[in-house]
Amino acid sequence: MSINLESSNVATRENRIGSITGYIGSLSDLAEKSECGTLKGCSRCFSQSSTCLSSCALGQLSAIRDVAIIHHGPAGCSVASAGAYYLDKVMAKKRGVTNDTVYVGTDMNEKDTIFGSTESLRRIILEVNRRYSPKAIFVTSSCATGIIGEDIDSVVDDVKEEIDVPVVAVHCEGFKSRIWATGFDISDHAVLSSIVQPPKQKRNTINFKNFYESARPEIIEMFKRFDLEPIFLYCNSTVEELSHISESLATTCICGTLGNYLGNALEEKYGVPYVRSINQCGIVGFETWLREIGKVTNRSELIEAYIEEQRAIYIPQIEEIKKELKGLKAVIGMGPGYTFEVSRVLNELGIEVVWALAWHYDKKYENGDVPPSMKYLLDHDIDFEASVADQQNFEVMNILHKYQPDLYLSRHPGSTVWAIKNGTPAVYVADEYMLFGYQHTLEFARTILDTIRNRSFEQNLAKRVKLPYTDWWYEQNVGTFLEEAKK
Amino acid sequence: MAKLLDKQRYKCALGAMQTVQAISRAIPVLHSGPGCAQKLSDSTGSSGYFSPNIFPCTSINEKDVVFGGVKKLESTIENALKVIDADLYVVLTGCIPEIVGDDTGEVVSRFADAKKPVLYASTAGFKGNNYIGHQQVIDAIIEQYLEKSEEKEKGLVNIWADVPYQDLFWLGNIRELEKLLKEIGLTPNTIFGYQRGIENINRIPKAEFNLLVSPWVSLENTHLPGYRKNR
Repeated sequence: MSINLESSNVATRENRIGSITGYIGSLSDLAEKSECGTLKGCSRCFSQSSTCLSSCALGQLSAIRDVAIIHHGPAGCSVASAGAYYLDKVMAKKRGVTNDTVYVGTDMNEKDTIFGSTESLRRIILEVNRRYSPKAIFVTSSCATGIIGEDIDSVVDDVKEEIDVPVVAVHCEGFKSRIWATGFDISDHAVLSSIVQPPKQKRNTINFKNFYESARPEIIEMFKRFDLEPIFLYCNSTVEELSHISESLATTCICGTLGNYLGNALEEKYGVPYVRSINQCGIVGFETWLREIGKVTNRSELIEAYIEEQRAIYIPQIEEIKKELKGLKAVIGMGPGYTFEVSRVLNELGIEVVWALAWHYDKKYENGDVPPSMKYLLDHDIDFEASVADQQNFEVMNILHKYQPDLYLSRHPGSTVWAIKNGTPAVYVADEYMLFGYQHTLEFARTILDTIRNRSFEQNLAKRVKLPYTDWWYEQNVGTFLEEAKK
Repeated sequence: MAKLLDKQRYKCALGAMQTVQAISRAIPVLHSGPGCAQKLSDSTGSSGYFSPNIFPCTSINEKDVVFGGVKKLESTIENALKVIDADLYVVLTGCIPEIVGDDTGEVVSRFADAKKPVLYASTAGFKGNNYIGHQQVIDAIIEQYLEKSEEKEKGLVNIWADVPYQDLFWLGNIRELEKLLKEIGLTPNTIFGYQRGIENINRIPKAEFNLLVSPWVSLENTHLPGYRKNR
């Protein structure tokens, strides 16, 4: 892939890396078709609401400290500001820092859709700069501005002369891509094109792309032993910190979907190696990842010593708990950065995955390879039924109703609650570090045990709840509404 | 004209999906981008009989922007009627179909003979805030669903007050108004919240009066020609 930081626009995942949101089959079939290039995504003639890519893009950018987001669109687009303020304050407090990021809208109305509003936008940018003195300003588009062709790039170029911090145009029209993870790429692109500077000196730092840095203290502690220092991105990052990420020894991430664009771009542009192993979930994942870090930073010996020490503490405990988990059947529904990682961990714990839903699927990553988590499963003869659905709840419920698994796992709010109403015990894998390394894998196994031991809550709830779907739907094939991909 | 919207206290017109959600067994069918519902529902939670991730949505993409999304809208409504167990389907439009010119009203009119009522309210985000959207939904119910009633129920009063889910105490406010009316010997009729719903919507034309408790929201609703006709 070639990353073009000269343009403010990023191509969508569909166009760049052949990502899809509609598929039903099996893991092996999905992989085979991806490799020989015959995989085609299906569309749906019936779907439910999912997620806007701007939530992903601006969720990432608004977590950076002391910046301003100007969401140019009708008032509904910028409604995410309330959540952003809340999250910023909570995350900053947790870390003991302050975050004065502001998130404003422009309340675009009907007149603006006809006559355009670049002049108002110009004034708004200048006023936000005057009122809050942010360290960077991100000016973002919406569906409405995108369709009418509002020239945000020109306005941004124009005000740059009057504002002495980076002002960046961010193109995140919600209709642009069915894959909300394109929003992550959009935020990376904005940071790379406007904030990151070419390296001046190498540092012993590792860029660590994650969501909410909950395992920050323990990772800092662990990396100290290897004489490495992690820089967590973008939650609580400062603009100054971000300007130096090209000077790190390597880039790694907690979720391949989240970190793929930044990692590849830093490697391509500044020669910062991107650690492309399976992720840190579970035992094999954690060890493979650590060894890869050891390889790129020349610290293999230190890392082997650490692995040996930690194994002695945790492996016997994990082996013990595995006895109780053996034979359980699970259905999972997550973003692809986690689906195939969590499937591997469940397999490690002796739990059988009967169906895995990925909210989208990247045929290949930016470097052209099949995602490593997928490759691992195939190399180890792990196969199961799989589908790709952008959080289509009716499909999830159809699958749960047919399979009645012991367990449903999801990483997205509002997904597990419906499984529980179906009578299926569920684990909400909310925190991205919930399966990180030995210790959290053990805790994760315990959480599963706690969830499935006493199922009376789920059973009783299911008896008393009327689900929102018709009996007709439960009798249908899960792929009823998928239409063959058309060229 | 676009302005600096800082620490906003309202949403866009499509926020009216809250108004639909507050009517038991009524479901919004969105002709909008894929993420509008999720964004707009941040404050309304993600469970209940229906939640925003259950709402059928055409999830408009780039192709639909160029070629129009009416075909997708028709199949979405058609299948929503089959998949979702609801009693009232309200099609709401977002920004995109109204800019590119999809004739949503025409598509919805094809469902006039559907087993369950399918209504349509124009709620493009740029048309106004969620208070305006709320009025649009009430308008749609009055104009497209209610039928004139010769019969009047003595002492029955329709109450129009808070926009559902806007003020955290919206439901309490409405229930308290009901109580007050009962105390002076009248029969309150409200449509939002648990155990009200479509049965009460059907009673609207039978009321003797409307009580509007609001600075301006719904003023237009209670003066609609169609509504006056039904009184």
